[in-house]
Amino acid sequence: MREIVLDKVSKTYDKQSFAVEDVEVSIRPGEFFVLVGPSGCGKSTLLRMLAGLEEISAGSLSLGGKLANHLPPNKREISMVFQNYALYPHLSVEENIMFGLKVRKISKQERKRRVQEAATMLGLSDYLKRKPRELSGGQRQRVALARTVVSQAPICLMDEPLSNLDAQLRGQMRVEIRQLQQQLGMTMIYVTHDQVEAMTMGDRIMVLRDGKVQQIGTPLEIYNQPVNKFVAEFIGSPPMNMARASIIDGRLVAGNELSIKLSQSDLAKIGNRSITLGIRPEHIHQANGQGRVRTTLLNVEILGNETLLAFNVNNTIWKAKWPGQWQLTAGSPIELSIDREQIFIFDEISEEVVSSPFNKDTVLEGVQTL
Amino acid sequence: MNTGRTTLIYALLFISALILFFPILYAVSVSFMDGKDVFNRALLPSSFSFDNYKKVFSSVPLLHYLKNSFVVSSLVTIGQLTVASLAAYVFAFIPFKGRDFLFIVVLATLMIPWEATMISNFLTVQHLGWVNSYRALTIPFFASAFGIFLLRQHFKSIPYELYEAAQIEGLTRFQIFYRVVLPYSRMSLVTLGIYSFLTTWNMYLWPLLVTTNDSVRTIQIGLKQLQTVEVATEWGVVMAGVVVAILPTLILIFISQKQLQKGLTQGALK
Ligand SMILES: Nc1ncnc2c1ncn2[C@@H]1O[C@H](COP(=O)(O)OP(=O)(O)OP(=O)(O)O)[C@@H](O)[C@H]1O
Ligand SMILES: [Mg+2]
Repeated sequence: MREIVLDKVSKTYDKQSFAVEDVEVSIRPGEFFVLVGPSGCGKSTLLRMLAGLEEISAGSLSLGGKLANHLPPNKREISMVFQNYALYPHLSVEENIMFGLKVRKISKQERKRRVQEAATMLGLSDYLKRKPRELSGGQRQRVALARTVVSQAPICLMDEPLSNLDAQLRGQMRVEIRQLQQQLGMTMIYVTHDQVEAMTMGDRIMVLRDGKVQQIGTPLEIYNQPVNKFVAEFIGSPPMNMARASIIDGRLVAGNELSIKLSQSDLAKIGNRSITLGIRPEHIHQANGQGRVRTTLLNVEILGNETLLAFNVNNTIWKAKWPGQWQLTAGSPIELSIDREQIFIFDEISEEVVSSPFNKDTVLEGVQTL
Repeated sequence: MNTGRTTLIYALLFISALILFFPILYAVSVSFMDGKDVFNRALLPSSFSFDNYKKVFSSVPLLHYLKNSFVVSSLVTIGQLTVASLAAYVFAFIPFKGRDFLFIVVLATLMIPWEATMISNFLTVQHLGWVNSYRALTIPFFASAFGIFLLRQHFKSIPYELYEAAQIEGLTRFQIFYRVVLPYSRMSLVTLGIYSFLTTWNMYLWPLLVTTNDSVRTIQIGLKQLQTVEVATEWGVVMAGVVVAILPTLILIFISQKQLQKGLTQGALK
């Protein structure tokens, strides 16, 4: 097993702007590593550089301690699953799975054995003689996975492999891919723009934006301690609520609706910069006398096990997520409370975190609430 | 659609087909007539006999011509498919500096009529000493801009992911060409193959120029020969020769039609 180390890896297509800029990370053997970010942020470009399908403009990539910038794709011991599966339409499922093995001159018996094994693992045994066009989307996806399995490459790259499937199948394949990766112990580098996939599948996540790395960490680190406003908004569903806020008489105020008393340490951190307030939907509760929000309900979505409330704070629409079913009427005035300990404060200009639940001085906080 | 309209449409189709095919049908009819029928401008032969066919085979070496045509057409087909698919593969998949410009140059040659270059081509062939050989009839046609264009367009429709997946599996460029690209484009190869076979089969002027004796003469020239030998006025015999000449092309079209239809439905991937 080999470690993948990227050192200041950059890519430019037009020699003017970077599609990927100065990416530095080392991916451990056997890790499930997720690249996530909005469309056009450079995820595919980065993955394709790892695969050797795209030239690296600057920086170095090493595989197992050896420089691999110019290694051709087939020498990198990788397998890759594409968004459209890249199955050969003129070959049967079985031939598709075996294709790479034939090229690598692996003996016929061994080929048969590996195909049988992979087909059983992925429930494809009954479809081996069919052509790809005679399969459903999910089955095609499995054929693409089977190709990875038989190749026995230690590193697997996947570029949005689930985006063509419906929601239910996606949920199922998420689990299957994760299980497969653990079973085979391979290193997985997985590209997605879906933060749910990132959160549920990854050992570690790298959030990209405009070709630049925003944050690398475990899913919970990213969720709990986002380093900036972008990551905070991108990870989590519904996304973190944000509003421009100001400090008036030691209170945090956003529009006419929201006013919260802040601790001395928070006030000190903020100083006199302009700030944005952030709070996750699950940390906005029924009024309990703390951190008050007075506003009008715009919309109520009852999802069965939880209820989403939409309302206005300083001209932005916020959402609160309450467990259970709440029969509230849209248009009625409502009073809510915010978990003061869960507030994020971002610098409005740099978008960096100024104060978050995790860098608060909890002792001081305790004194303040007394 | 109601039956009345269907009947009408089929009737119209039938009539147009009849008009379109009349010359061929009439040629077939004449090929069975004796001299008197032809002279009386009969529509159908009064008696049915294969005499004309016997005569045409005995007066000119028709089988020999047919064989030549077959050899020449097959060689040109294979040559065109080979050259065009290789060139199209490069134009579609392998980037290099000036590739697009080169492709435009290739396309531009489509605008030069073949006849315009015929004299210089003839001089070249003559200089090479290829007159009266299969080389003169085949090699000048191996590079076909139209074929390159047709195949490149089809190769472009192959998902690039397939090409990349094959790269990761470790196929060389040439392996990708014959193990992925060619099987994927089987139908357009068949189409181009039929097209080049038929155009070569029907070629007239060039074979006439580069052949001075019967050794490699093709069937189209052979038909012309019919008029110079004594049977020139016997139209029944000439028509028998014509029918023999078009029969292989008709058979080819009938066979390939099935193949083409099958291919069209098979090639569709969702
Ligand atoms: N072949 C190319 N030539 C020029 N620019 C390119 C090329 N491929 C990608 N880009 C540019 O590089 C940037 C990153 O593209 P990339 O495909 O990596 O995005 P992505 O994160 O995978 O997006 P998506 O989620 O939509 O797939 C984009 O701005 C894109 O326009
Ligand atoms: Mg992409």
